[in-house]
Amino acid sequence: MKQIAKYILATLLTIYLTGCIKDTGNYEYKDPKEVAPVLVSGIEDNYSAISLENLVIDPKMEGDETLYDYTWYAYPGLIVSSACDTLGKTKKLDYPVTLMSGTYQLVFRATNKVNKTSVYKKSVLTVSSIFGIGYFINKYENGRTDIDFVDRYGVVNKNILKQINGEDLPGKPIRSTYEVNRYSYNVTNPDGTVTRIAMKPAMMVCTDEDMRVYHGENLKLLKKWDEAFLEKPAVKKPQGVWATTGGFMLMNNNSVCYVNNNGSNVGEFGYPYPVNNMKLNSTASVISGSVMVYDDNAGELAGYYVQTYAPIKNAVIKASPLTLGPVGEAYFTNCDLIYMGTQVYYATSAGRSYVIVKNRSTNVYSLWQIGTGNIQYGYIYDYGAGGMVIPSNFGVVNGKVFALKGGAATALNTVIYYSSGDNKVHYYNPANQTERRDMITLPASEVITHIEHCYDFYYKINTFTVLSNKDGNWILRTYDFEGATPDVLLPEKSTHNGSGLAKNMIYRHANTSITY
Amino acid sequence: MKIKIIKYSILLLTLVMIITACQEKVVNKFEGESSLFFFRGSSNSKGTPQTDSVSYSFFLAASSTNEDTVWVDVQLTGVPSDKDRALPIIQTNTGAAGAAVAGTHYLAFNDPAVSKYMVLPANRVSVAIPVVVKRTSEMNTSEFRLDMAITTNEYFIAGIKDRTSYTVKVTAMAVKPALWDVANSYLSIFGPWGQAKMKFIIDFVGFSDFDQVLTTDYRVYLALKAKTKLAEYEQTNGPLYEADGITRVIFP
Repeated sequence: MKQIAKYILATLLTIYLTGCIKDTGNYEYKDPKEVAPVLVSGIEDNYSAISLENLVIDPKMEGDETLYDYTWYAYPGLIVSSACDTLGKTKKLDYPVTLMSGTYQLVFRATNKVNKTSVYKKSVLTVSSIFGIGYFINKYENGRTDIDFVDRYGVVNKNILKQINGEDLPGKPIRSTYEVNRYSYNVTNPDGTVTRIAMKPAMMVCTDEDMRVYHGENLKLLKKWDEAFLEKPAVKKPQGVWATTGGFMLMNNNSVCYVNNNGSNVGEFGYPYPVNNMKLNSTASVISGSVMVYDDNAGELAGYYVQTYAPIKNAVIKASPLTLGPVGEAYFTNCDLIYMGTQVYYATSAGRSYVIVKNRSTNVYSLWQIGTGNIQYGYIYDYGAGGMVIPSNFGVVNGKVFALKGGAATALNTVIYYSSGDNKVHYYNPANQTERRDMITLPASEVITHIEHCYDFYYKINTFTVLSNKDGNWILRTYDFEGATPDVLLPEKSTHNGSGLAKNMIYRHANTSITY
Repeated sequence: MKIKIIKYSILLLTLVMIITACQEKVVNKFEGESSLFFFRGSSNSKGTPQTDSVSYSFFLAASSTNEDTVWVDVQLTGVPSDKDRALPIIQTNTGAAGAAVAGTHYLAFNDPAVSKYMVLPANRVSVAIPVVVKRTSEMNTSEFRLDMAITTNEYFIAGIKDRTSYTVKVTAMAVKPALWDVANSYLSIFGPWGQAKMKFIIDFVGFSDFDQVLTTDYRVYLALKAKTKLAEYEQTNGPLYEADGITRVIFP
């Protein structure tokens, strides 16, 4: 026993004596620049990729490139904590793009196999399907409606609905709409089981005889009219379809119904909401999940919200929702609608809705700036225009097609572009009650059918577009803006042509969440 | 000497562990008698809720329907048998006021059409037994009650105490569906239950499967349709009231 104690004591003594010896080490500190891998060239700051096409990037490293391990990965947007997808493990990236449409941070990493030091290079990668960027022209030709698609390279792809699905739509075009992730549907598997495909992009196309639902990425037909309802309407008389942040709204036969984005929906419109003796004008302004409509009978505004199962008619005078004025009285009634539209801002955030009406008794024109998004709280109210009188000699009161300049929801921070069904574009500026005439003049034989400010505050989309018809063909012109002014630079930046009579169009950029 | 004692102790302990470690484990098998109980849960073998009773109404059936079957699940406690065993199920309220009468309001359990089902088949642990209810004119104004109980016989002893009885109520009047007051169900769509309301839903909304658990979309669909159809009905016929003439049929 004594011997064991001696051994233990000796071990402890050895540890005690050697534990505090100064560690002089044999390290050799070097500048990281001398030992870390060096990326010479070959990686840009920004990439734009198309789904299923190959993204090829071949960077050049300094020295022997076989000395390094390589990794390419991506994560969504600016959210660093998001899960990363590894795209490649070789120096040269040759990746068939399968990321969903959107913006990603693309990261290249080269790590020295011996000393484990790395070099990183971060780029912005924008992914979209071939249909993710471009203009979708709703047109009428040979008694049918189809879409001509002007892609990011300016190439006009004719009749894409028929090209992809073998069939276009009957009737004349009314409008189309797109939402990036609010449509769900069922698919039947080969074994007969059914899988719910949730929250996918969808484009809906509406004519005066039909409405169909297409996948937003590849434009394959998802549903025809007969499959798009929980209970097919007795009368088929479509008036338009609109995307909202809660799903989609269809106006049919003077009533509205919704595809509501919730846990169980499989892309079927529900039962029509009550219409309460209104005659719905075939126009609507969407902000968030709320939709403002116009009652042509009473000549006043009304609103619908997907989870409020009755039209909203409560209106208040200019007020904040916390200090509401009298509720229950429309601030105008007995008016004809001249224009109603949504001011685009970014993603699903819109500015305000603007409304121009003409009093049926006094023939006075007035402008209203509506917080449509508040319809979900049960009321409609004006933000600042307060029924501003528009001089009757202003051309805007005779406008046939209109567009709002995009922007945030601040007081009267827009202008209203318009054309009177001829070859000219003008604008009305409510902030200073002026008009700019003849901002754009097209050749005399052209008739303008649609104008739009394609805008996204965050993604710096800022293009003015004019769509016109001539001799049974359509012409699309795009313009840059003159600085921050509402005026455009002349001449046009690009021109695209196609056959058929255009009605209107939607524009999608790689990060479009919703079209209005 | 001490070291030796320690050494032998360790050796002995190891020996004991080796000897006892490999002893065969005896598993106690259940050898008790079998008993029966009525299933309780949100979905029985026919997919319908089964609590302590069920209300059947010919109100929901086509007018030509004079006979229908309510299926009741009975389950076994104990081990399955290799032979069929008769189920000891009887009516316990015979002769009581409002009691269903065998042969009149339902087919007796010993009726040949039913008795063949009143067995727990070999090697099974549960069975659905039929209660064949029969429409009578009295049912337009009354409800009849069949109180059933599981007793004992040569195969089964008394089962789980509070699950050996089950009641089938049969009428031709509207009866409140079991799921009506469940959260996010019919109450939220149609409001408080009433006979006239239920008939309106069946006739005008076109919905009659009240055993169905509804999805959110379908609830919204039914709610909107019910309000629309009632508004249309009232435009032509005026307000609709329950039998008391006071309670107006409305949907929230």
